[in-house]
Amino acid sequence: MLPEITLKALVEGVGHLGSASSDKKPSHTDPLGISVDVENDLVTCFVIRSAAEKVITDLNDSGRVSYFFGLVTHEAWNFKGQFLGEVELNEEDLSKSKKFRTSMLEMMGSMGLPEDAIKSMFGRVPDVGLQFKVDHIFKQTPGPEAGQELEF
Amino acid sequence: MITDEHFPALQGMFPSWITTCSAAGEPNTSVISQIWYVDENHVALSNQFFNKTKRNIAENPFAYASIINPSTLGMFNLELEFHHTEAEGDLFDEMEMKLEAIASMSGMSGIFRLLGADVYKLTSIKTFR
Repeated sequence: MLPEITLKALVEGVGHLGSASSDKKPSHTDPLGISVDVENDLVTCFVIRSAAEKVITDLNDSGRVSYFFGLVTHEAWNFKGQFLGEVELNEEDLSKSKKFRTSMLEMMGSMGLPEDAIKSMFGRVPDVGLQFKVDHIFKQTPGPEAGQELEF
Repeated sequence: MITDEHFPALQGMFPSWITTCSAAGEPNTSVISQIWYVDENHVALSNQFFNKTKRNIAENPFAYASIINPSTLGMFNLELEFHHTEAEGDLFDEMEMKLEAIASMSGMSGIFRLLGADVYKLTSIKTFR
């Protein structure tokens, strides 16, 4: 079961989904929202296939995932896990993505960033889910505990 | 090759993120304060406390990083290969001063301690959006 302490940053924060090819060349992409199955340690990242081609190829190839996520408060975590497969996005997923993207548009808009620029980042709708099962969790908040594994 | 269009994304206004991979094939994604311009074919990353990144690079020199232009939010993806570390000199001093400024502005003074300036060769830079 995913620890409660990680859930706020997981659901409300910004994440980056990292992968590596079989010849150990890394890559990453930015999900436009996620869904979480807390009981079963599952995370599904919503991405745009054309923007995540390299990561999808890597995940189908090597299978290992690093999902870094955090809040503006600097609280951050890293979920390591095993890729399970692509997931077709349903209405609930798209609704979650819209909520996430809207919150990002509002937050970045409040920082005075141009609306067109923000929309280029968060205005697009994801078309596929990449699901993985979390097997290790590391604290990433800057400070003496950074890098410590969180047992769960 | 780094050109004028990339410079705004190398000013540290937005955090950058980096993914590395261990010798065993385990990826690791992390966020860093800034990626520094060294010359048109090299950039530097601050070695602070992201030990997993450092360990991975010691095993496997390849890294993938993203930088963002703060005005347009245009993103560039960089394929990198570790070259060497500098623990003193102009580049190190500049990075240390900037990091302390970032740290004090974000309430993390004393935590963002620079251990070294890791210089990477730029293998490719691509416009993402």
